[in-house]
Amino acid sequence: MIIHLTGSAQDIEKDLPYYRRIIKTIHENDGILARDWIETAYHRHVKKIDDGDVDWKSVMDGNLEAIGRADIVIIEVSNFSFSQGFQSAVSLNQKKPLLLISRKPIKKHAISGYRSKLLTTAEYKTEDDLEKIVTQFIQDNTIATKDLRFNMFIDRPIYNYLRSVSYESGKNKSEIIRELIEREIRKQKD
Amino acid sequence: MIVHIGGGARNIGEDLPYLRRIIGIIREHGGHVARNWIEVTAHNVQIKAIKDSDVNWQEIARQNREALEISDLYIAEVTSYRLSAGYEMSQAMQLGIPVLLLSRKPFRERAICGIQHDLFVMKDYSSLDDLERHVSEFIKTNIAPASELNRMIALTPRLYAYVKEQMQKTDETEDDVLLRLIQEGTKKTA
Repeated sequence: MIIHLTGSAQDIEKDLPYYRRIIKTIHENDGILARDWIETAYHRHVKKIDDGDVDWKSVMDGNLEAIGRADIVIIEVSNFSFSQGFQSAVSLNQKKPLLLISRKPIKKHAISGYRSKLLTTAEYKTEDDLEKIVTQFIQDNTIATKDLRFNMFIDRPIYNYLRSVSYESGKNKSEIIRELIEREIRKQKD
Repeated sequence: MIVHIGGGARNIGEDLPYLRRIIGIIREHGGHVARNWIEVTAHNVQIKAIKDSDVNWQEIARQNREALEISDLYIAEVTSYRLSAGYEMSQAMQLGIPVLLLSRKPFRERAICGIQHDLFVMKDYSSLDDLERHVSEFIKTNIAPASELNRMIALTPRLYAYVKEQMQKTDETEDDVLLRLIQEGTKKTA
């Protein structure tokens, strides 16, 4: 599973242990990061590189591209900053399950008013709390490979159609059905 | 012209004169505010009427979403760079609404300046005069005068027949059919 983890670099020194714990939890749950930015951001802080000298376009492009590739998105929002809000809305618009986690109370903020079946918000106090929340979120959104296969019954006209298209295109019937469904998904997005 | 104004309650005391000026400029251009939350919020904050944790954030999120859906433009004062402003900005862009972000702190140090889109403009300002200039320019750039909104269109016989067919099928007027087709076309290219 590809997971995009993002958050603020404003207090990277304070947040670093929590980011590292999230990454460890992701790896323990067989996930991989869509974009590995945390150590780079920390290095920038250590080297006292001014925020005005950062190539923010690359950073933002990297984040948006990572959201596109990810299966799920986790955003650490303890700083409740603009970029986290922007990426939250982008993630939900792209139908990605989204976890927003914070060490500060969420119910004092506008974020607690957002509603979506894809959205989970949680508060944590310790790294152990954090690990439990992230593990649960990953498990809730993991689809076992066996669940991606199923039998379906088709009628004679559909069978004849698939056979004819398969012969003409050289594609197998499963591929043709998947393409039809993907086309329908694109139409709905439009 | 309907404009949705974004901002935060957290720094309403400092932001109030600027938010009021934005509303004034919108009205000077013949526009209306989609949701006038500013004075009520300022009053509630001043008299400490309600704690942040007791605010009905879900209702506020719903009202803001509805305000965006009827708006032609979105203007947000984001000096405090809050999460909710980033979330709303993304929603506005998803709806195809031009966005103006205004801040009294420099954008160049923030991840937000990595966002680049035809619909999006961000401007620093340090005085009410600056603010007025940016908002006026944004409105003039993005809103056509009413006289420009009334167009004569020459159709081909084939297109005319199609429009007539649609009118019979859907019971819409000619104008409604043409508007619908153009709106569907803009969604496909967005």
